[in-house]
Amino acid sequence: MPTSQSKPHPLLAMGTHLHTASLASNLILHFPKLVSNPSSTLLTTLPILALLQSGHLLLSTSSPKKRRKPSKTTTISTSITPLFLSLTFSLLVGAPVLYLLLILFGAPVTTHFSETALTAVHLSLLACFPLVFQLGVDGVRWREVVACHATVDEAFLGAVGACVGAWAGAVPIPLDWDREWQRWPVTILTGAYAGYIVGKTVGWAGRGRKMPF
Amino acid sequence: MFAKGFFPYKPFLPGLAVFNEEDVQTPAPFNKVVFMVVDALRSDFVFGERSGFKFTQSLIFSGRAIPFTAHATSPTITMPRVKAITTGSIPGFLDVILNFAESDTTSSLAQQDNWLAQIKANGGKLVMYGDDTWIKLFPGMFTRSDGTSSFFVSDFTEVDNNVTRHIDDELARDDWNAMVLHYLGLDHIGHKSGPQSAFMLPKQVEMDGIVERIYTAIETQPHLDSTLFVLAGDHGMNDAGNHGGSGEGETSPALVFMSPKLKTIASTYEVPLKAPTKPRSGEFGFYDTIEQSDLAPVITSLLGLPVPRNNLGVFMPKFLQLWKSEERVDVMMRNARQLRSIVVAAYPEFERLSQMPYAPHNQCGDSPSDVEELACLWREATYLLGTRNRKNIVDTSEPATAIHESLWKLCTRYQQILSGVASNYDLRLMTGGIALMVGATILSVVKLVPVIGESSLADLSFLAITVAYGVMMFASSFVEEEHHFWYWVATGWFMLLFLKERRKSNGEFGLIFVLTLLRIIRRWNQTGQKYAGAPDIVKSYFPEHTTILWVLIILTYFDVFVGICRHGFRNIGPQAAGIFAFTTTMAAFGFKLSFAAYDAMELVPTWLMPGAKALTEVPLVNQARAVFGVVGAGMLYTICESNSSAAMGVDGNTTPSTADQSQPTDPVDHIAISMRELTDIFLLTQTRFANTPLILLFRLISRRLESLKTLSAFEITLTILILQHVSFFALGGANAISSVDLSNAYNGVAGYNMVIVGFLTFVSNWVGPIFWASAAPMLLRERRPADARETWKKHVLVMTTFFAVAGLAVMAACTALRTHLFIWTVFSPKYLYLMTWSLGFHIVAGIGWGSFMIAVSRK
Repeated sequence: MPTSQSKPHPLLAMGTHLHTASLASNLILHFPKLVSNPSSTLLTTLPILALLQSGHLLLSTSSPKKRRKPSKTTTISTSITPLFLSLTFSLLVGAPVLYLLLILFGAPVTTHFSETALTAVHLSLLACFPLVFQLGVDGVRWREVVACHATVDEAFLGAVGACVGAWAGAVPIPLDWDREWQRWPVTILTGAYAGYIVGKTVGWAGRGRKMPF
Repeated sequence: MFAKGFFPYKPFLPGLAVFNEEDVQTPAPFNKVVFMVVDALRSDFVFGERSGFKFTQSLIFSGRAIPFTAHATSPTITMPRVKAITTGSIPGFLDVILNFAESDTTSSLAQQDNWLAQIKANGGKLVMYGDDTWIKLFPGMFTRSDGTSSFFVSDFTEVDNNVTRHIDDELARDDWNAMVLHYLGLDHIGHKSGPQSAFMLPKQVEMDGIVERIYTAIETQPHLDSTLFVLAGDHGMNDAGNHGGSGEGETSPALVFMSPKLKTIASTYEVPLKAPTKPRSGEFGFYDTIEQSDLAPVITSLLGLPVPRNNLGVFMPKFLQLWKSEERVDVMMRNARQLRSIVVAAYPEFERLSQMPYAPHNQCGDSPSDVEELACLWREATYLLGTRNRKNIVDTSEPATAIHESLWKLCTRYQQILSGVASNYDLRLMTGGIALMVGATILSVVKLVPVIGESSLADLSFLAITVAYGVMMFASSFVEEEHHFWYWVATGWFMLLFLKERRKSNGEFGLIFVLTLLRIIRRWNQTGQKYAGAPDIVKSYFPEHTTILWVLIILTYFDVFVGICRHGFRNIGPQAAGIFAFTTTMAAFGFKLSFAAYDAMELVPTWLMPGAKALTEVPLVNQARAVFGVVGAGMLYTICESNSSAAMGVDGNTTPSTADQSQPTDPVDHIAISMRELTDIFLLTQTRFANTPLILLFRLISRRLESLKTLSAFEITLTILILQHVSFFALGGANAISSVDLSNAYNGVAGYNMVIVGFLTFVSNWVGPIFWASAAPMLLRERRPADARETWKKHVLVMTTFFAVAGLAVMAACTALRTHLFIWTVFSPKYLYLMTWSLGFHIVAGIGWGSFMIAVSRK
């Protein structure tokens, strides 16, 4: 099922960068609070993130790909329902799966529950939400994504970037600098955001290509 | 070669010091000394507000005791500290290794001058009760002694009672001149449950009671009236109760001099000392902080003996009050002359420089070099001394103080500069070592390049891991927290493998299972520096769930038992194999159980107690020997079996017993597997019992990997490399000297045998890596049975490349960061660990044992 790669409207192209910029500024703005009080900051920034992601998806994607007949007259209103479904799905399924993955990758089990869970939700909104919205319930394409074999686009590379970023975010934790920001899960979340932004931008630039390996 | 340049050679002057004709003999304020060492007695244990040393504090308060915090240099372990206390020198890093090879004769102090030898040489008698380190360090020196060994750290009371029971007897006698007591209980409590332990305060109260007993005897009994009583810790402990590094807690032991005579000193204080008190500096800097080596000149001077030759300690001017004012200069001068002779040995030009005429009002601090500064200070001091002698003044108040000050300044500068000498590096040798390493690296890379290319994923990952590891060696916190790197790499690598598997086939979630196991494994033992002492499965979960622990342990042994039953002893029939497997595993399990009952009774559940009790009848040594014997016999038999089946020729492969079995597998497999199972039994014996279930988890992972047929040989090699490191840290290993586990080093050894104990120590600390090394041949054979030799060669090549690069990186880091604050605490232990990894583990266990197993199974 090839993606219909019509030339993106210049305004839409601007939109994706605007979205990137607002994601980054959201993180930077809330960073001091995130360091001093991770749980509550993670919670309060969730709606902002959800809104940013939804707005971006509504504006940039012409139509969810699960639709058999791509109608030319996709409007924001027709996309609202799948968008809402995707959001629910990524919150109810994506976040718990990511929580388990975070645990497997070394997140604390017995302590810091709210921090880890909220990190999983953030990660899910960054990585899963766009993917679900775009892929729907297409098993074949999901398998391609899990095998890292899908066609390059913003959502896919963004998700890869977010996961790799979260993984790489663990690097500075053991350093003996004794900084406040080394606490859990600040670096993980920062890594995820940074990875998502980089992956998304690369995916945007190289959309339509195959993965090199 | 690098090692020789890196670990500095320190010249020491042999022979005993004697009084020179220039030294003026001064009367000795004391003629006896009681030297009471309490192992790991951190300063706050005595001086702090939550201390149990109430009597000692009352002595400080009333001025009959002079307290210090004695700064101990790293490595903060007992033997180097005892050396520092007695000789006044600063032991080099090499002593750390010798501490573990305890009875090695080169580390004994028979050759080096020290205050015990001085007492003996001057006709005194010595007695010693406590830690047998002293007896090993000073062979034949003590007239009466009773050594206790610190083998079982769970023993809090017996070790100390064995010392205390001699005290009254000895205090009644007057034939000794020095009594050394070394209590280990407090250190054991620290190792076992940390400084906040509930046992800590009662132990301090007990120690305080002993102080009171001895002090009261000194005060009341006439034959003890000129006895100096010293209470000292050899080192401190960190918040986890361990020591060895240079944390503030570890380097700050308490030191108290006690005697009724000391009141004369206290009377000169402007403000009487308070006790208990708050630290003056940092967390543990109570009262004045001095160097631990300063003890040596103080003790010898107070006893009227010459200062030990290699002493770098400085006499404390405070104690000068004990002498008449005109004698004080001589006491200081002796110390200064003694230090001067070391300076002359280290810097021959000093002799010439010190002869130069003295120019008054010359600022010595501006001198161009250390030697010249010392020479300048020396000239100043001798000038002042000369003027005093010329004037022949009895009224000494004003000039004498100036001389004391000048001499003291001179001595402390000596100390600072000479301590620096102790870490001079031979850069030429170090560069040579690095050059050799570069050669080895290039060689292995050149050899490796043509054979790679099979799997781009593994190639890239190997490159990334090796480079990242090399870079990491330059960051002290990453060296300390190396386990994080490996856990982190392991998750990433297994995720990559998982994704790769998803590409090829569907439905294989085995790698997620491996990831889950790895998640449990990394929580097993908390390791590293930053979070040392944080809760983990072994320390927080098992003490309350002993049944689960032992069920897991039994499962582990059962798993190995099944393995041997299935694959071992094919030629003698399944019954015999079953019996043999049963004997072996039961012997090994019995040993583990009785060891556990000995070492940590509280971790053995009640339903296993009868078994443990029954086993205590048999000495541990014999049990361990039985296990080793059975394992050895099993291995020998397996090797013979492989030979005989090879001798029977190609058709003889199906021997009668294997024909009975329904599985038509290749007998070659069985031999390799049973060798591996027997190795596992041996490894299990050398593992701390709380860690044995980890071996079960490793076995599960290894079985999962075997079933993943799509992995290439290189991917398997890389997986093994990662798992070797992960398992090393999961079993509690770290890049710190204090993490070396000695609890299994004496299994089956009654006396001390350096080779065997060294070997057992190595195995017990490298259990995990050796497990993977012995699993490697099997895992690789699964890949490509056709050209096993080629695959093995490549495996060895990859491993060699990794260790060569790692070695190069560590050496470069040690050279580049040789002036770094952490060089002795972080980088040089890492270097020692790397040497063991590459020489001990990689060459012997990785290549040697692996090749042996392949050779045996190929016959």
